[in-house]
Amino acid sequence: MNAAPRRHRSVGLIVCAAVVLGGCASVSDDAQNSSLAALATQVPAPKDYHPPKPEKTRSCDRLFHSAVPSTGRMPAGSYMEEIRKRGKLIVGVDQNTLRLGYFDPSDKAMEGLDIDLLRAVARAIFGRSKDRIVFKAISTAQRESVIESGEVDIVASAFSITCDRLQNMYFSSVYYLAQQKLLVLEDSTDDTLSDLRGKEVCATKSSTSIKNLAGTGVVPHPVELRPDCLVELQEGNVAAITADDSILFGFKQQDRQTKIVGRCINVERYGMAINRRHPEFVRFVNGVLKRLGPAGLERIRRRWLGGLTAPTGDEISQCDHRSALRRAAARRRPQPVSP
Amino acid sequence: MGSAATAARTAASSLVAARRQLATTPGRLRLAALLLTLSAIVFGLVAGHAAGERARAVQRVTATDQLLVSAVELSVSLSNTHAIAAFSFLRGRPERPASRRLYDDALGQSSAGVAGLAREIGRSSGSGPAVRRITRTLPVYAGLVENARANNRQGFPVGSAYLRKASKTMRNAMLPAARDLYEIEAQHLTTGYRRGVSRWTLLAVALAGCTLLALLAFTQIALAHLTRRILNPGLVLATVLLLGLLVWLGSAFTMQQNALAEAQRTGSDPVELLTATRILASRAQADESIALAARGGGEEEPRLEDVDRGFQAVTRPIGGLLKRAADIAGAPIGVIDDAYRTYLQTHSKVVEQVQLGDFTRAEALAVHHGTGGAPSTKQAADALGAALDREVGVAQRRFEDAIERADGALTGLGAGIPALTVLCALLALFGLRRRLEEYR
Repeated sequence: MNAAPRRHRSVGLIVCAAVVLGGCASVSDDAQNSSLAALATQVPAPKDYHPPKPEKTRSCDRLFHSAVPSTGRMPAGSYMEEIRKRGKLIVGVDQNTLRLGYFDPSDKAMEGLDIDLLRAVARAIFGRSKDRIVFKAISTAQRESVIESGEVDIVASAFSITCDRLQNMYFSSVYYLAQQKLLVLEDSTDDTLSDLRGKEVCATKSSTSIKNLAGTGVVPHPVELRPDCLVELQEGNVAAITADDSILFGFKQQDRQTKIVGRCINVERYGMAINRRHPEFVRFVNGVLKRLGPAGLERIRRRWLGGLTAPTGDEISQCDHRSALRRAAARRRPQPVSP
Repeated sequence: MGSAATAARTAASSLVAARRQLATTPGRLRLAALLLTLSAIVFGLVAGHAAGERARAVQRVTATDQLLVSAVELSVSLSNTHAIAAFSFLRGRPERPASRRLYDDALGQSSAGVAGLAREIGRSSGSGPAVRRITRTLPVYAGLVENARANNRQGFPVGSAYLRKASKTMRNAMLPAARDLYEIEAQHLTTGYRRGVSRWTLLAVALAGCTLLALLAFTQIALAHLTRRILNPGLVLATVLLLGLLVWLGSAFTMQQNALAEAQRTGSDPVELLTATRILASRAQADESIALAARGGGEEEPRLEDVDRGFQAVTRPIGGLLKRAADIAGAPIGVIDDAYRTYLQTHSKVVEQVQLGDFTRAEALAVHHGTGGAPSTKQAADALGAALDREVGVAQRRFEDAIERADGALTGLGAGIPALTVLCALLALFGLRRRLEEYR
């Protein structure tokens, strides 16, 4: 079988010997180079999201409280009708925030305060919520882009209503009032942001919490997903986490050696976000919230965040006042803090 | 001053004496003997050096190949460890003892691999920093995975954050270090190959050999003119011996060179191509598991459609690598090709389900079994890995065979070159002495 190549080889050998011992067999590193190039393969980063610049800045102070009037039913040609025909409500949630939006691997189901509200919306459309919701897990930074691209119908993910966001999307009326606070190790003496001046404080990228760190003198430590902050705190890379108390409450449950401290840094008003093309869907969702009523919302709050004392009206207005003052001060002497 | 003048005078007089000597036949014979001896010494040294250099190059190739194989095994076992960790996370709770054992084995293999490399490499070769980086981060990685596991056991979502961090450590610190190691050893291997087939040593040997040969021939022609005796047995024997030695050297070097080139072409080249494929396939598998386990979310972890983006990026070069390997090694690559295609198909089925938003079904396709008796991606990835491992083994054996032949071709040269060169010189001197004696 090998006769032919062997003869070739011996012919080659003689030729080689004849050509003044010249090197006729050579080596090359082509194969090696392509292997090395292949091993250097990087996964391309997804495109960054830049919110479109609002055409004109509107004052939106009143928008926080003025709910869009509700109707409730599903008129023909409305977006709710489209969803009903499709058979599934596509929602954007966080699946890593205990008590708000969390995928329970033993039940293989999503649960949490945000999830309960989305289920209420699905029930209002389909009559039931089971098997009617497609959960798309998104990061904090992706919340705005999935709404604007229409990838999801609605986002409920500890999403605070802010002026800037209202330029690009609709929000339902407020369904939860959270306060931005701090989570530190239980033996820490740091109680406020000013105690943490010059120290690293973890917050999720694109969150309102990280924006509120501007001008406070702390060093922001941005991370991708909310629980990444708990990892950073447990590994000792940061002195504290700042986020809404509703999120910190879930962290505290995962690590008993931490405590929630700080006066309210900012009041966060959670709403469900919807694309600007579908105002009728916003009214519908507001109708759902209205039907739940304060008692219904309180029941859901107790179910998931019962251990957290709800702030009184006075506390809320005090905190709003303080953060307004702080924002005004920050505007007067802008400090370069990049989230 | 006086001494300088004396020295100059002595030099001048010895020059005159030498010139007078050269005018006589015995003088010329003595000069020929001197030149022949010198030339033989030069030839012997050059040929001996060339043979030594090539033998060392072959040894270096063998040693470096072992290091390269260790580096590759380390890369494979690292990405494998992570693929298993991610997979058992995806599979859900409670973690199966079998998958726990698999992870422990893979982790053990990784740390044994890095310890072995640290020992083998020593201080010399420049791969120290890469080995140290892996040695330092491997326990950190293992700690993160354990934290992920402990938190996951309690149903805490921070577990997935720990897994993501482990993933980042693997991707940003350990795999690049392993790749550096691979690159350094691969470059050493190429240097070894280059030295083993260097033309300069051959040229030097040829030049020294031809000079000696020409001298011998010239002496014989001159002697034939001088003495009218055509053959001088000593010189003739020396010439024949030299010719024999040259042929031996030529064929030995050629055989060694061919064998070495073959070792690269059919041995280490396919090994490198196939192991690169193996590493990428493990990475793709880990990416898929983590993306599914994370159910999307996060810019750095692939999400939803991004389950596919990471996978596509990592698997894109594989086709080219397999094609190159097929060009070199031929038929058996077909098996790998089939396994690879099956793997891609099973993955695209998973992506389909993800796009429909049916994670449970997607997970089932990834973990348990595919549609219509098709394998799950995990099974397909394992089959691909096994096929690649088998073919890498075959190529490695081809490499070892060829290296053995390269080494064998040089056998005896170490003793043969000095012995034959000395013999050649002695014979030539003997032949000349016979003629010189006639003038006494």
